[in-house]
Amino acid sequence: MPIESLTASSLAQQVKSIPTLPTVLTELSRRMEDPKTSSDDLAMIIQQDQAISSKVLKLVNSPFYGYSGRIHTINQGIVILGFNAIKNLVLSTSVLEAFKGTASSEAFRMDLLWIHSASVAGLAKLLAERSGTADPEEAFVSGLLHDIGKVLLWISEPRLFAGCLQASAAKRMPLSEVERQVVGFDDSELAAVLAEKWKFPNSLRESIRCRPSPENAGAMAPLASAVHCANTLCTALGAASVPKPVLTAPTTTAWELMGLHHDDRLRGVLHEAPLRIEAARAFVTS
Amino acid sequence: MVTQDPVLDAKGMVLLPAGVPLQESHIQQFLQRGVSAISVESNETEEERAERQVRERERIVDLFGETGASAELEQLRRLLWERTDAD
Repeated sequence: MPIESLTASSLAQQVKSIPTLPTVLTELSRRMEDPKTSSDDLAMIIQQDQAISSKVLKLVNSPFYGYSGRIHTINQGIVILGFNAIKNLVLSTSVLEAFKGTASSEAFRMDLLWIHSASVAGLAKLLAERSGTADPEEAFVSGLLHDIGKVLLWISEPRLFAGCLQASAAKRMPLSEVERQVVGFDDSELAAVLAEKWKFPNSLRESIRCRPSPENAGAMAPLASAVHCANTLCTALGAASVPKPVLTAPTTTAWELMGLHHDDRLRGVLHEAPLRIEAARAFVTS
Repeated sequence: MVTQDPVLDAKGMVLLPAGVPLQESHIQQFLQRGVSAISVESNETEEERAERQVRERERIVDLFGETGASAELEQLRRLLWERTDAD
């Protein structure tokens, strides 16, 4: 039986330790809506946060973007990679920094979770590129942040969440199903509340919320499908978020939307996956 | 890790010859030039390779269990199994 009166929203409200995202992100989103904003303006905003800007510079020069040591300033990064790519980088970096100090345990290993998240990000981007149905950069960020609900559940209700993980492994039952039975909602709902609180862009909020059932994401269904399928693929390839994962079947609609029902497409994705996963891991290891 | 075959771009231009130890800068270059996968030489003995294949197959069997209910998981299991043959 689920815990009475506990909802994703009330849980998120009662957690006092929800990290706040840096103001640079809010300011960046606001200024990006103004067509008069120049790359200089955006660079100045990002540079106000030294930690974020140095991390962003490190990432744009990582194997993932392939500009090894050639981007020296934020402004240069904006010109070469574009406004949206840099904004997504700031968003991802901010969230990762916000959760940096989260305690790990044998029941829930943060290192596994972030490596899994980066792997899903890399493959979601690959699926978006191959299928041509979603923006690859958005797919990457959405993949990177798809499991933030698990982190929040772990921070707020560690014993309850550890129990869910244990029950999922013992009964060979998908974790989200166990969470719904025990807690009353699953981690994707909690992630959606957090995405709302943090004022993520709508596309990201919807794709995170609908990750278990991407068909419900309306116009964002392709984006949610890319993350949904990438999640299954990463677990199948051994990059799961928990030590004893239970493989959940992807929905037929999402699988077909990504073209994975064709053996050639799936074979190609599996072939390319190791290199993509390796490059994406720079996000959580650098 | 050492390249097993020459790494070529889409136009057939050699980016890296066979037998070169891989470095991070090479991976950056490959991704930029649209190279999606490369072959690397393995120091594994035949015995080690066979053991790895057995471990990977056991992992697949354990992870997928009875997947008859889903055509998607069955297809994924089949192609992952196929990869263990090619390794």
